[in-house]
Amino acid sequence: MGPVADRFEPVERLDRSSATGVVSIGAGLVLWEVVGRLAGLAFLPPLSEVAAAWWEITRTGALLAELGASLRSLAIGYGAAALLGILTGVLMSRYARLAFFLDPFIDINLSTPNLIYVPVLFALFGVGDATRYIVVFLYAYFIIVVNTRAGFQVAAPDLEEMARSFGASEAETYRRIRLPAALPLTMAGLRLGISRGVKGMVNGEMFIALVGLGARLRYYGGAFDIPKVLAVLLTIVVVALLLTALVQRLDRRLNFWTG
Amino acid sequence: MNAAPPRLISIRGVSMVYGDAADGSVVRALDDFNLEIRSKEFIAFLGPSGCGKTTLLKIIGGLIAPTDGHVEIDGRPVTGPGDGRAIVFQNFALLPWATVLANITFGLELRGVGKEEREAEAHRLIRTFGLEGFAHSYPRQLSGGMQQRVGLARALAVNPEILLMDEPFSALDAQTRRMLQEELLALLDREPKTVVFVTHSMDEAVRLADRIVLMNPRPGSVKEIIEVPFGHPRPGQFEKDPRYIELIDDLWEALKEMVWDR
Repeated sequence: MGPVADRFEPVERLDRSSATGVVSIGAGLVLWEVVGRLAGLAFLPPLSEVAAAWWEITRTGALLAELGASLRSLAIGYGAAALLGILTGVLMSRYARLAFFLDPFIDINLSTPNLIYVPVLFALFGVGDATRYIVVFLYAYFIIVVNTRAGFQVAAPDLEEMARSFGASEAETYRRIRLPAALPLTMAGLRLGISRGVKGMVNGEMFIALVGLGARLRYYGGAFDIPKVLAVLLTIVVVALLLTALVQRLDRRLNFWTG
Repeated sequence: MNAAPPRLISIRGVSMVYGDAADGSVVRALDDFNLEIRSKEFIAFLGPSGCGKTTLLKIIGGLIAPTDGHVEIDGRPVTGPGDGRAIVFQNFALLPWATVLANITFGLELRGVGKEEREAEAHRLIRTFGLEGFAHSYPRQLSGGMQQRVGLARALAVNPEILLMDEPFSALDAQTRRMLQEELLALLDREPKTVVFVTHSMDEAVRLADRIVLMNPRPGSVKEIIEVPFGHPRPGQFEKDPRYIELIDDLWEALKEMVWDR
């Protein structure tokens, strides 16, 4: 008899192609339109109305300018989080003392809403771009650290032994075995980091400095222009999905062998 | 000077103790192990699990240092892995992110052999092992037998004088195992090498080796050294020879005793 897992039939094997995503999202959009029309609620306008609002703010250029500002803070904050996060993770995987020292801080920051730092950041940097960049950074950084560190601690003792048997030095073993073995988890960290970074971006813009897409949300929200609020929200969702897809693509390219 | 046969590997008083004497967690893996292995000889280490045969192989390979004693190759003590020796691993130890070609050239690359030269050698080995058409495949796309052919090719690529094989075929099904045994023997007939082969299969040991070193478990030591009465290349149908059957019987008696003794 095989291992326990073999004896359970999988619930259902689904073809996880992009087509299934299109179908489910498409169904959701249709449902939205229908419910919106039938319910006639002010806070749930049908999709078509939101689409019209989206076209309006896009046509006038309002959305695009704000999108640019948002993406800029995301690029800076996330870029720094990726670089420093990977660096910290690698160092923590190498130096147990450093890991011992940093671990509690990272755990705390992973489970705390990072917006709690905003008052301090206000005091330090004022209500400006720097504060928003740092919020994006804080949202993305810790998850990247944790994953990178775990990645570089992936044990491949058999492969390392193999490399040593062929005369590989410590540095060569690190580069030829540890590094590629660490990539899948590191990339997972970057993927989680980008979606957290988008959250940080919007939060920063809504609660700190009224710029970018967050500012638009606040503005239309204040005016009770629900179709436009939803149009901006949809834009943010699409941006987040596109960015995640981008990182995922890079991931698949680098880690094709895990599939 | 007497005309003794050339001795390639000398294992002198090798002991290996794992663990910490302070908390009593000491495991004696090997105890005063002595053996001389002749050049181009095929030696099989046979014994139950826990007899330290893999530890011994790793000591010969220079991957671990013994607690006591030492191994000499051509009179020079082993201080680490190096030229002249290559290991074939039980679990293949192929790089999952590298193609068959890149896996085979791994050792050559570490030795600084140029791309053209190492790929030419790899392609030669790909033909030897019938891996044509798989040069650009990844390990997970291959069967177990093919993966170990890649492992074998990777070891042979560095043209070792000594091939160290750690239960290389134990993860394979019976038919594939038999195929690879035949391929290994054919290969050694063409290019004779010194082989140290760890196995827990009596049949495998008799099928392949010139001498079988039967090992006591815990701590591992030489129980008996058995000369296999068949030369290389093996005569056809030698399994039907009464000496083969007798040998397997003897090995079984000895092994059984060890297992019951514990």
